[in-house]
Amino acid sequence: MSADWLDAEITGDTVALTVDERVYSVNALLRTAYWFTDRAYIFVSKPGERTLRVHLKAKAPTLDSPHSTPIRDLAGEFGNSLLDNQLREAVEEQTGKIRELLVMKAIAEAGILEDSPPGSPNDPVADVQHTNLTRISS
Amino acid sequence: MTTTIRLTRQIYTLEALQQTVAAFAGHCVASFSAEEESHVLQITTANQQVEDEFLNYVLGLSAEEKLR
Repeated sequence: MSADWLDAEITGDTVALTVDERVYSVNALLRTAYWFTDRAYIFVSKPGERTLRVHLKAKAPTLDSPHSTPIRDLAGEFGNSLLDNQLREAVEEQTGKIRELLVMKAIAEAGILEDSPPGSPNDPVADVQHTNLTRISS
Repeated sequence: MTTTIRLTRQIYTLEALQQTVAAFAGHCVASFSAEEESHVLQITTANQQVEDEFLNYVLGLSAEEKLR
């Protein structure tokens, strides 16, 4: 059976999805796969220059998660999650620096970093000479 | 049952594979060699689920390493 809209092949309790690297990054795929390892067994192969193939096999129900998701639904959820992670990456790329600046500004205004740094600001060699030398006066 | 599986370096890291082989030492016999773009894994186990868990484990560790 195939799910054309998803470019997926379903065989029994297994589904294979083709992922185009020109659309989705490896990091987005890894992040998505990582989050699905508690619900499915996952294997990723590389059949072509710019394609990755994700094989999902539904895990058997357990006492912790007694309801197993139909494999077709699992494939759909994986596709959605992959898109979500890809979008997060794009947003991070576009707004990451602005967010960093805002956080730095907020920290600076809150005065969190106003404590003096640890240690002495003096020349450490001069400090050592000053404390270890004994003055001999006649 | 012995299976040969090619794990693409783009996804799977050598360190993750080494750690997984060590972690599953009591459950299966596994060895690997290197190809230009893949690690070639040979895994022998009586239970298919062990192989599936092995692959999930190595994927998880690889993801953690690459996304660190």
